[in-house]
Amino acid sequence: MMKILFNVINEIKYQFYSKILIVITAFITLIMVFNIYSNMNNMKNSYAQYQRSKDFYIQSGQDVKAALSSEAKVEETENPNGTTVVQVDNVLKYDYDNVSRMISVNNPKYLIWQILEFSTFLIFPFIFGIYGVLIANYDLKFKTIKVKAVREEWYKVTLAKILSMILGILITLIISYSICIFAGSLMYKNAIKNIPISEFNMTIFSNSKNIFSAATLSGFLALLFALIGFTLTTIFKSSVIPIIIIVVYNMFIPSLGKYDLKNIISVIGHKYYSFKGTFKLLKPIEVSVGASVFYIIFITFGFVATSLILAKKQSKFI
Amino acid sequence: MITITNLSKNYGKNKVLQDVNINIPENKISFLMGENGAGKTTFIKCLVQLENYKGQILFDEKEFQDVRDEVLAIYDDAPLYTNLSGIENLDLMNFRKLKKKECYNIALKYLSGDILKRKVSTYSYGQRKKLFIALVEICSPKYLIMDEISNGLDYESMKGLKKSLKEWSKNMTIILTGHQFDFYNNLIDELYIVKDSQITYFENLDLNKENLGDIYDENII
Repeated sequence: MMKILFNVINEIKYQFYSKILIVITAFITLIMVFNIYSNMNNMKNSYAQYQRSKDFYIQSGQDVKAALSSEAKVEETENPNGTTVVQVDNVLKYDYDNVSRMISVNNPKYLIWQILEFSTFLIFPFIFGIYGVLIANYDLKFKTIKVKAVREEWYKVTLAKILSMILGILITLIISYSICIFAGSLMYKNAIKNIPISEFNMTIFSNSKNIFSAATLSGFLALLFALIGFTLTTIFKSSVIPIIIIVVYNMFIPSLGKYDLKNIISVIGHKYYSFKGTFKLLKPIEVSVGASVFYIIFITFGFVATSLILAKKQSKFI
Repeated sequence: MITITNLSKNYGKNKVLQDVNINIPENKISFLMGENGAGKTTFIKCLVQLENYKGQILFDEKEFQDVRDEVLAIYDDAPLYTNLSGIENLDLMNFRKLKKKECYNIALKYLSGDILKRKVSTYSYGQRKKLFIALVEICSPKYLIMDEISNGLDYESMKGLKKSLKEWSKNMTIILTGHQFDFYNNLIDELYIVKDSQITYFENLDLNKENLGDIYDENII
């Protein structure tokens, strides 16, 4: 037990020394902060647009109050060239709803959901996939496997690496989420300086989902993506092919059916997240949530088992 | 003592080691000599369980599993984390759980503080070897296995290494491999010749040392 702990600490030490953890945390934080920043800008732009529409209504003598108390009908039609045309019969109300939606989404109360949804389903498959590749690959790359494998059985080192990834993910998520919530709250405060938020309908969203379950799922999926990268690297004994597979699978291959991992993640995602913010997760092909949870846990243990078995069988002399 | 009984290792149809039976004595410097490709490195790989093999290897009658913590193997290519500094490498590789500062103080005997703080990617081959020599001092293993350690070292470092090896052998069972016999000549206690898939003990090394002549003479090796 003490030896496993010593090995895990050593793995984490390497991640600090090599700055893998710092780079991954900084990268995730930067992308998320940039996303929050652009959402805040969108909110300001929506308000500016609403103001322009309101001025136009006033100048053209239309009844602003009546427009805001009626509904905005939106019709979407497709042009022969494939582009979508949106027709709105009540532009002022449409713009008003847009501002209300943006304020609600960027409000510190909903911000954490916005951050979780965007990061978990859009950024993590890449970042933590590559994190797993780096952790599995470094002893192969530097040929230090033959020094370490003398001191400890390689499957135990592999187990320590996996445990260190759990710790690494925890550290990364706690730091980056904390920074993002803090930065997001500051940006929100600054953005609403010129927006009279009390004029808008802030109750446009009601989120009945549990934040702790959603955050746990976020951490679990981060680990799953890291394990995918880790196992692929153990199989191929190289970092290039796994990175190509991760990028191609996540960016270019559509969902391949019911039991494609993307579809299963989408089923579970919709169970624990509402996606009422700016990020929308693909609509899944129907699979029961129970079967999806079982499937994803089975896959996760499958990746761990594959890595451990390969660690026992593969040659450690490079 | 390391007891090797009926050790055989094949790569496909290529028999690298065939029924090797030798005893490597405790707290002595044993030298395995053989030409390139003779099977020295394969023997080391078997010794430290990096390869599967047939036969039995016991370390003071214990399985390798039970002595892992007391074995340090150093290879010719001196594999290190080149993206980290020398001292960070020592901190990660020392299994005696010494603190970084303690490792640093010991390593200063072999490399300057400036070099230790530099990334290993800037090190020369000889400096990498010296870092491993510092690791020996830090870990003070019971069994030390060094594959072609003298390669890449300058004259002064070789002199220093010889002195260290003599000192270490008071408490360590040391196995060296190489083909530069002149470097090891006055240092070793036991000599083993690796040739034709066999490892043969060279008897009465002390008595015959003067008469070894050209060690690569086909009558000897």
